[in-house]
Amino acid sequence: MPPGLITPSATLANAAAALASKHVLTILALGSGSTVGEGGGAGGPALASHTPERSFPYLMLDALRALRPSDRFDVTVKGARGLTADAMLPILRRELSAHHYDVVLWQTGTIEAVHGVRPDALRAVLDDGVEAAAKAGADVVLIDPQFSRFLRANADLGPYETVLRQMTDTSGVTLFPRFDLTREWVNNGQVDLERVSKDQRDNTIALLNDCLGQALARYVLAGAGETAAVTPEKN
Amino acid sequence: MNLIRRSAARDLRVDFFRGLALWWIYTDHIPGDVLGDISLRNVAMCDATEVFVLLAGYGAGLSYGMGLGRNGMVSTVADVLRRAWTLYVAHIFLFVLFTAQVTYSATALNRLNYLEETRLDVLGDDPYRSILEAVLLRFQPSLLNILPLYVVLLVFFAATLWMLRWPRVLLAVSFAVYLLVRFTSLNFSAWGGDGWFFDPLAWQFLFIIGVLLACAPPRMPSRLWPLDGVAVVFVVLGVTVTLGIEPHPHRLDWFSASEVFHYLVVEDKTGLYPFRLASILALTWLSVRLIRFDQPWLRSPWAAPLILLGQNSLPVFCSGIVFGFIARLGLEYDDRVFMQVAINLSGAIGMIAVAALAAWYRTKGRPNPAPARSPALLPVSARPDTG
Repeated sequence: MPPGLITPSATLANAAAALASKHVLTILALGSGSTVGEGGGAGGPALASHTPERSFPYLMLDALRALRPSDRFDVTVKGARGLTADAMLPILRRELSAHHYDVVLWQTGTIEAVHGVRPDALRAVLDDGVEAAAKAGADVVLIDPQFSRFLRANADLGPYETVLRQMTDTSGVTLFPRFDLTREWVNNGQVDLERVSKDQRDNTIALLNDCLGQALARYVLAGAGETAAVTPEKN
Repeated sequence: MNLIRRSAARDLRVDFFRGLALWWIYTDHIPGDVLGDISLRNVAMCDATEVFVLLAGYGAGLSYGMGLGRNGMVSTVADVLRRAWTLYVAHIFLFVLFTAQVTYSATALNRLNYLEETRLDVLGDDPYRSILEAVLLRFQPSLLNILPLYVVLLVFFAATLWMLRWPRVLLAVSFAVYLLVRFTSLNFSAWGGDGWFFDPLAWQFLFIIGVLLACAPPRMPSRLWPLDGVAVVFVVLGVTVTLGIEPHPHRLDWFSASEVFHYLVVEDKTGLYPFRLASILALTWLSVRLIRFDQPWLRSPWAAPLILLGQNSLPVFCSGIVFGFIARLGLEYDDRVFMQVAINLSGAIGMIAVAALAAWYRTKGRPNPAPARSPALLPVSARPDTG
C-alpha cells in the first residue's frame, strides 16, 4: 500500500482529540452500494447480494480493532445503493443531530457521474454536509469513486473528482483517494474486479473490501496523529 | 450497385464525420478498449456526442428545412414527427435487446456489477414500474440516453420549424432556452429524481445550430483570420486542459481555489457546458476551413467505410451498442493485443455490414440515378435523409 495514498493531507482534529482523551472513536460511514454492502449490484429478489458485514467500513472496523486493541471503535453505516450525495444529505443531518460522531466517511461521486448530476450541484451539497459536520464536531473524510474501466469509458469522472479534491481546501475535510488506490491495485495486478473469472469473483470482492478497510483504518489512525505506532503492512 | 449516396450537392464531410462519431461512440464506450484512449474526448473538451448532435441537426436541416418551401409546413412537420417516431421505436427495441443481453450476461457470468453500472438494477427491483418509465423515456439505462435525446430534439425541431423563416429569431429562442438551463439547471425529469443524462433543453442549442448551418448558412465574414485565431485558441485550450490539467490536477494547486480553474475543469456534460459547446464549434470551424467540400479523399475508398456508417446512422448506432457489449465481454475474458484487435476489427466489420445492408435495402429495386451534373438536377432534399 503506497503510504502517500493512505496518509491524509490534514489532521483529523476531532478524531485525534477523541482518541487522545477518551480512547473512543465513533465513525459514521455514509455512502452508496459499496459502503452499505450492496456491492456488485443487487438485481432484484432473484439476484440480491446484500452482504453488509463484508463491506469496507466494517472491515475497516475490524482492522482498527486489530491495530488498536486498547481503544474502542464504533461504526454506523448508512446509505443505500444508488444514492447521490444530495439524497444522503438528509440522512447525514439526521444522524448528526441524533448521535455524536468524531469522523464522517462520506463515499460519493459515482452515482453523480453515472447520472450526470451537475458537478457544481455536488459541490453545493458537499459544502452543506461539511458545514453540518463541522458544527457537530466531526471530521469529514470524503471517499471518491472506485477505479473501474466501465466508469472511465461511460461516465466523465474528471469533474466530480475535481470537486471532491477541491473540497479538501475546506478545513476539517480530507479525501481518501480510493480511485488512485484501486487503480494502483489494478495496475499491479493485485485486485482487479473487472478481470476475474466467474468463480473467483466473490473472493475478489472480499479481498477488495478487506484491502480498502485496511487502508482506511490506517488512513484514519494516521489522520488522528497516530502514524508512529502504525506499522505499514504489505498488501 | 452503389451503396454510398453521392450527389454534386451532398456534403460528404458531414457523412464522414458522422461516421467517425459513430465509430468513436463504439470504441469510447467499451471499458478497457485501447482505441477509447485515442479518440476525440482525449484531446478535446467535447466528444463524439457533440459531433453526433451537431451533425444530426445539420442532417435534419438539410432533409426537412430545405424542403419546407416545396412541401409546406404541415407535411414537413409530419415528416419530422414520423422520423422522431422511428427513432422512438428503435430506442424501445434497442432497450429490450440491450436489457436481454446485459441481464442474461450478468447472471450467467456472475457479474452483477453490469446491472448497477448500466442502471438496469432497478429493473429487477421494480420491474413493472421500470417498463412504464422506459416507455415514457424517464428510465434510461447507460448508453441508451442518446436516442431519447435525439427523439426530443426532433420534436423540438418540429415545434420550432415555423421559425425557420426567421433564422435569427430561432437562434435567439434556442439560445435563450440554453441560457435558462445554464442558470437554472432546468431539465426533463427522470425516474429516480435526477434529470436526463443529456438535458434536451440544453442540447437543443447545438442541434439548432446544426439546423441553421444547413438551412440558413451564415455569410462568411470578409476576414477569416480572427475566427481562425479564436478557434485555434479554444482547441489549444481544450488540448491543454484535457491532456495537461485533468490527469494531473495537483499541477494547478497554486490556484486551485480560483474560480477560473473551477470553471475550466468542473464541466458538466448534462447541461452542455459552455466550453464543450465552444470546443465543438471551434473544431467545426477548423474542419470547414481545412477540409474543402470537394476534397478528393472524401471520394476515395479509404473514406468510404466511414461515409457509409454516417449515411446509415440509426442502424449503425443501435448495432454498435449491442456489438459494444459483446466486445466488453471479450475484453473481460482477455484484454491483450489479440483481443483488442479482434473486438475493434469485428466491431468495424459488423457496423459496416449493418450500414451496407441498410443502404442496400434503400436502393434495391430502384434504378440507379443518373450521375448528377449540377446540384439543381438532384436536390439533396429529394427524399428525407433518414441516415
